[in-house]
Amino acid sequence: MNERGLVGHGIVPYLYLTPAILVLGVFFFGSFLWVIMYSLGTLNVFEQSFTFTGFDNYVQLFNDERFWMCLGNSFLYLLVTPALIAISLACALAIDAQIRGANTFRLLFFLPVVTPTIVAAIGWRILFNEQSGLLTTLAQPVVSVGDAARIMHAAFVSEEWGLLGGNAHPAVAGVMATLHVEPLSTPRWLTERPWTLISPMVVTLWKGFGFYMMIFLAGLLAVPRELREAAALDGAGRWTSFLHVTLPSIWPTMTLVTILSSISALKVFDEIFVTVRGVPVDHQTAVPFVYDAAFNQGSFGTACAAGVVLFVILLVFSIINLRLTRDRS
Amino acid sequence: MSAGRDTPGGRRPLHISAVIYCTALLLAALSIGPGLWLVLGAFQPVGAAAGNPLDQVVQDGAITHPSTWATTANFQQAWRDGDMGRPLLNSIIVTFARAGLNVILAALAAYPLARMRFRGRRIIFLAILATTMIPEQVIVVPMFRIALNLGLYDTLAGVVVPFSVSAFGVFMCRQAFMQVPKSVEEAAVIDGASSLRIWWSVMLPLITPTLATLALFSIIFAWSDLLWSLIILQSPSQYTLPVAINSLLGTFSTNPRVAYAASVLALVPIVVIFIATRRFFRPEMFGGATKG
Amino acid sequence: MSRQGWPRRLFAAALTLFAMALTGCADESEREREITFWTLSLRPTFTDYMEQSIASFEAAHPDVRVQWVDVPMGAVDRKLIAAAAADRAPDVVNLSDLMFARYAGAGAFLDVERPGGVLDRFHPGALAVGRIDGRQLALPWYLTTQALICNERLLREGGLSADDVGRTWPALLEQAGPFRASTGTWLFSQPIGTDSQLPIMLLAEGLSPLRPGDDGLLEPDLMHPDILGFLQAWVDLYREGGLPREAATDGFEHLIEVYQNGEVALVNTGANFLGRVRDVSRSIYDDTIVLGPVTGSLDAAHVAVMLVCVSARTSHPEDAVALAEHMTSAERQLALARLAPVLPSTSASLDDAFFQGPTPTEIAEGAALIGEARRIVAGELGTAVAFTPALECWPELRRAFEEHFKAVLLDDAELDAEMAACNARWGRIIDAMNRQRRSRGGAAAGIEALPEAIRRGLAEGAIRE
Repeated sequence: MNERGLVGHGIVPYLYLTPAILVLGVFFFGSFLWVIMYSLGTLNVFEQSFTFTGFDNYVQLFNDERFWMCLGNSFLYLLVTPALIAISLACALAIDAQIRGANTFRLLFFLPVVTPTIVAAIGWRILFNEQSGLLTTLAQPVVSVGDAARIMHAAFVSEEWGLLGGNAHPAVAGVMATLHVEPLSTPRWLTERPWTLISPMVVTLWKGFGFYMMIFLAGLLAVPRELREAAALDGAGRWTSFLHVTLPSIWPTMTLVTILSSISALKVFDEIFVTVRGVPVDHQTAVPFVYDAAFNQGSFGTACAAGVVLFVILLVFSIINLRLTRDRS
Repeated sequence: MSAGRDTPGGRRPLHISAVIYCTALLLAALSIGPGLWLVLGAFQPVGAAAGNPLDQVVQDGAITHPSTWATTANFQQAWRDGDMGRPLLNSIIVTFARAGLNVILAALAAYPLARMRFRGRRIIFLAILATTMIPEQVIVVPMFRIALNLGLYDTLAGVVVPFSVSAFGVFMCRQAFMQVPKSVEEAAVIDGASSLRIWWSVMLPLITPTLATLALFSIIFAWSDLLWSLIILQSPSQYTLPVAINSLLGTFSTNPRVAYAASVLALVPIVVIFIATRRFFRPEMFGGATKG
Repeated sequence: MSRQGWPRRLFAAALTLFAMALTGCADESEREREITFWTLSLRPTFTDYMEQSIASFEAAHPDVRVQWVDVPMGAVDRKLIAAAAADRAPDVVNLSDLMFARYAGAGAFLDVERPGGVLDRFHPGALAVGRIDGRQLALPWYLTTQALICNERLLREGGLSADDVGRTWPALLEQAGPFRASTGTWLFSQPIGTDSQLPIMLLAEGLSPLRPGDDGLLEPDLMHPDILGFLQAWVDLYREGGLPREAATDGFEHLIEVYQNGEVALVNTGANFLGRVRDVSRSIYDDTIVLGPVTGSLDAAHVAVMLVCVSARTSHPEDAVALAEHMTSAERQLALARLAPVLPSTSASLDDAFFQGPTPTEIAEGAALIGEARRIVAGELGTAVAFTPALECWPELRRAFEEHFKAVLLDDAELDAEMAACNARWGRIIDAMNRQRRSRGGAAAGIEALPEAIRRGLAEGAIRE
């Protein structure tokens, strides 16, 4: 068929797009234009006054060590993506293999996705209770993770003899400070590094794995069954067959899951707000930093500047991500 | 493992099965845990010891009589104090309006993006995707200003309209449309059907699974939206359920279990909808989204 | 073409819906003047009270209509900033003393002092909290003072009783470690990180973190050895595990939770909290006794003040002020205090028999403890002080303090270094505030911003010199 497509010429495609463009254009891009403008000055909402100050907010933001630490933490938070992929893919494979009760498991695993955050928050705060919570009871095995992180911290940023010495960039120092923990007997899940980042990550995993599992299941369905059965008949081991037959054919799904989950990891807010609210801002990530600046500190200009920076980072990150994964397929 | 279907070709060794089941059961327990906790808390009678609700259900290794740990009083009080009838109705209106609009507007926008060639197609698509990269925490303030200027303050329409289409929805529908073979459209074009007619009666039926999925996701998100609803609504007559629940958590409210009960009331409809429609909620439904 | 007809109709219907949605809220034209009034978390408990109060106001002002909006405490910052950004700030708004100064400093409120007005009916300390740079930017509404609420059974387990438990913070800090070691529960908790009470506690100890310099203007004084010593004792206790971790991160709400879970023996907090303990955990309520609050060396309890402010950009300032005066009148406040364990800021209301002990109904309902708590806190009000300084930068000072102090508690930073940094930051914040005051034609902040009890102490040299 011709290159212009079968249906729709001239104004027709735009007519289809009008409602969506109106809504997204007015509410999202419209708002974002305001955000860009506010980021270039000082706004006093109560006096309805606005003073243009050029790039002062950005300069201040880039000099704010806490901002760099939050950004560093946001990138650490990306560690949740491989974990999510591993868990959801494993669940998808198990259900795809039609283990007994597969349908029930699929239903149960999806429950966290439909549970409203306000509801999940109550349950999780009870689990994380440092005095009596279930996690404290089960804590002992994980204490060693803290020790490993402590050794890494010492190796890299210790002022006396670390590889980077005391001269690390604030973002690196932020990442390392998060990894730095003292040896402990009982971890303080909601107050101490690195748990202040790990606890919300656990909630993100909990809330997301069912969703991505469904996406993987759909991807698996698209893999021709004969292909896998042929591999099995050839005597290929499970692992070989997974590596050479299943994995390549669900690669597009993998791309999608990677992009979706990493964008939402960089944008995380709810999970942090419901678990570790109250810890110093530099324990948290970029969006909570924006929230804190806008509504607690009252420096709306800084919040908007941080929002713009975050937008640019997400955009660049997604483009790189797309390029990398596209090349594989 | 993927080759290990229960076909004659590949039986799973017992110890691997055991590991798979234990893990699956653990994950299932984690999945229902927080919800279950909340439900038990909501049933706790006034004056029961606080803390772990299971402590009262199981004492000395035996399940105690329900009257010691269950009462419906919290639900009655939540219904009365929170005046839940009106918020429930509002939530239903808002949720279905948002889901319906999301499906229609996304399917409309996705069609030309998938099947037509026109100037600016790539840019428009990328711009739509870029909206997902704007942190909501900072746009709520200007968005409120815009909504107010459009006369949407304190109206249910104000909750619906700004979120009546999402980039995710457009993306899903576009991928689904791209899966439809060109020949289907060709036949319709030869019949002389207009493009809107082809969209409606040829293309949409072919992507019903994707539309159903999108509708369900929209329902889930609309049902639990708090951040925006809290800002745009102010009269109790316009409150949606999450806003009404949130106001029950106030400092003077004497009993958090009443808020738990209200949360359960909010959780039940969404779980019922999910279970009732699980027939539609098969993995095939996600097919549209998977072909990058 | 007929076969294209119905999708088109669908389209038309959708557009109509959209248009209806857009126009659906257009108000019918009104002759009345409408004012909006925001309160903090009063629904549903006080719905009837608020409706009656508004009805009586509207009866007295027939051409004014009041729209009452109750905002959950946790959402008020977000809602207020969004509304103000759209130039729709409420005409009258109820804020806590913690929130108020920040918005007052941004120029959000009108001076509500009127010739022949009502200011003399208020408790002077409560009134002073709303007076900034010589302008009365808020009227005091209800007050909450604190009482020491004790779980007697837990106290006994730790070998203490109502008689020998410490009644000052230094004494309690001393008892906390051994108590924790012997019982596994905590002796007490107190917000010291989020919503940190330490700045107020310092004032109550007579260790003012702000003092007038040689030019008479306020300067930070956090590096004073006595202040550092007081703070270090708290840091040590927290680091030893002698306080629950929520003390650093969770603010006031955590007091209720740890107490009703039986995890702490004592909390020093508002009496409004007893009702919740009764409803949630009867057994703990039965073990509870109420004592007078923990005080500092000035021997005065702290009063938290709820305020009513009028927006600077209201289009009906006189109606708005009238509403604020109506809500804070002695009669309305007494009616409110009868419904909840709060105290009126109008001095005369306290003479009511209601504040002399439990009512017969309370005794009959097994809630005598609540009436008893009310008597105790009302009795204190004579000597109690609203320690919150009348400085629009106070919230900013507190936030800076919280940040540095949390770094000490949670990141193991050194107290001296953090307080030195905080002290310098306080200096910059105060300078910025004074600059702004001068640019508006006001005066830089001096000793008048501190509560009267502190002023007196500083003047007499009784405090710390």
